Amino acid sequence: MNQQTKKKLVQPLKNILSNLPIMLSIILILGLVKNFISFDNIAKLFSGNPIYDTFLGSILGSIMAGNSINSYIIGTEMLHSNISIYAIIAFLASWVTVGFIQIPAEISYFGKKFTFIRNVLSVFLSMLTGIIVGSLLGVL
Amino acid sequence: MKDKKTSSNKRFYIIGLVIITYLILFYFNKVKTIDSFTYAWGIFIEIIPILGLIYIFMVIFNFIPEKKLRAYMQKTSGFYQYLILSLLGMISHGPIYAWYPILSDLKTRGLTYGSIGAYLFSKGIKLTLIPLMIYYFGAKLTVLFSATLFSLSFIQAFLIDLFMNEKKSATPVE
Repeated sequence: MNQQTKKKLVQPLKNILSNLPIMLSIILILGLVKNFISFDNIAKLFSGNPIYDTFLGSILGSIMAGNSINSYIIGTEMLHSNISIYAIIAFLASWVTVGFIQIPAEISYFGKKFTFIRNVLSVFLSMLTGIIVGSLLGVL
Repeated sequence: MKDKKTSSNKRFYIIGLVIITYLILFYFNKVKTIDSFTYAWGIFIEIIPILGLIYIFMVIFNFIPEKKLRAYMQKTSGFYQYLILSLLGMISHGPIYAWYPILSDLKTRGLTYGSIGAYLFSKGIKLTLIPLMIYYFGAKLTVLFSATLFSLSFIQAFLIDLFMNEKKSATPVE
């Protein structure tokens, strides 16, 4: 096995292992939230209005960052708490497409104008993703 | 290198803080803290086999020659550039900010801002994580979600180029 092939096999394992502490942290925090705060209380933030909920889901996903696996875990808990599917999909979409935390780095490479336009558009397109996918799920 | 080390340290600080929080809460409410840990442990056990599957997917995608794809992309313009960048975004992995230097460099070689937007948006489709997404949300939602993100990456690209006053077709590299 040559060096490059070895690297291609080892690098994904390193990637997974390096993300493990954060993943474990999220899972452990979820345990605390479930027992000390309860997802039902978080669900109360969502009004049941699809537009407002989708917007809130999108903003929550934009603020949070990290491996997408964590967004799936949180999204599943939101689902169990009967939070609207529109909001959950918008949350999942904005988690991966909007990066509030990465804004300084993005500005340094592409400038303020591009960073502002891209992130604002991504928030709205995440909401749109929530509305489109949520509606199609109801029809299909 | 320093950034990588700082980021790695941050990961351990976070889990360290979480463990300290558990210990403090255990002192005040043993039952709820043990319930929290049991719940978290259950989720972790569920995830382990999926992580194996993700590893296999990541290895497969590691063997796709991204360099060749990037070279081809530089020769294209307009809609095809959006398409290639969206596809490249789908198959690329690693954190989004790791790609900023390459994209910034390609921008000087004829890439439009819209194409960069398309790439960053479609990076939201995590091909390697599709088995996990199906496991959590079902195949229907996963397919619809991925297809919608892919389609909207073109709208993102078009709107960014419109707002940034970019020319419709990029200048190909000599």
